[in-house]
Amino acid sequence: MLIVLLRDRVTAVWLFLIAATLAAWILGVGHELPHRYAAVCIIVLALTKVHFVGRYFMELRHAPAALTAVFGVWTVVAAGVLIGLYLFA
Amino acid sequence: MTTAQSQAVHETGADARRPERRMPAEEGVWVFLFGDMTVFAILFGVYLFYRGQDPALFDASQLKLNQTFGVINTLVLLTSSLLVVTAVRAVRENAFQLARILTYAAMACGVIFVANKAIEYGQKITHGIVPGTNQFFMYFYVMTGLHLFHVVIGLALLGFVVKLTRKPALVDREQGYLEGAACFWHMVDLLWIVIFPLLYLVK
Repeated sequence: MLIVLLRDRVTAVWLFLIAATLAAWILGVGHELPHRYAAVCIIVLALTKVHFVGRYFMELRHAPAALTAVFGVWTVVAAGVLIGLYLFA
Repeated sequence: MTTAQSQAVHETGADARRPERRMPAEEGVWVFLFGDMTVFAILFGVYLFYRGQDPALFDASQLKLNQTFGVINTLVLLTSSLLVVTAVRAVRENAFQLARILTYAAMACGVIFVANKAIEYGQKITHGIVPGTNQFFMYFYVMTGLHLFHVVIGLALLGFVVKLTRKPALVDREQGYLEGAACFWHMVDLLWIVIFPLLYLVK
């Protein structure tokens, strides 16, 4: 049963989230990119991970469209505000 | 078979593959979760605003953090989230015992997170780094402390999930409670996904 349950897109999403975490770590500690590009990439990566956690772990992909939309708006607004404040504060 | 019949069969097949849209957990849970997430989002914004006022201080302070703690805790919480969503799906398949084991494993991940955080706080305090050290560390302790409080509440809710999996069957309301507790745990994961890069990585 466990194998059946894990043979699902949710497990692929988990692998993606692990890879994205390691990518953000590399962007944060060692790279040739200017800090500003790296920081914006890290924030975008973080909010992309949030999107996948909502969609697949919180199961919003099967939820009513209104709830999915509210979550989507929250994610996009949070990304916009955080990038804006990072760049212009 | 006519084109219309063929199309009807095709649509029926597509519907069968696509589960009916339904609300995970109760509506009130989502109001609470979005409220909590928004409070944290405001805190993230305030942090970045003050970072912008003195980036040199924030960058120098950030160097005193050990990114490895943050990365390990992120991986631990992501794994716990996979375990919890799999437990919820196991309950739907009536595999209650499996769901219980998966939830215990997720709780173990939560305990590892707390232990990791305790070691990290211990190291910082030993080096004389406390909330009053400077503005960066004030935000570090406030954000991670508030989040840690959520982890502890989440662990209690997962304990409640274990209790639910001991029942022979769940009524709809109990299924809603189970999904609500699971979604709270995923929110704990989600918040750390943003806190970790903001505090440890963004320069």
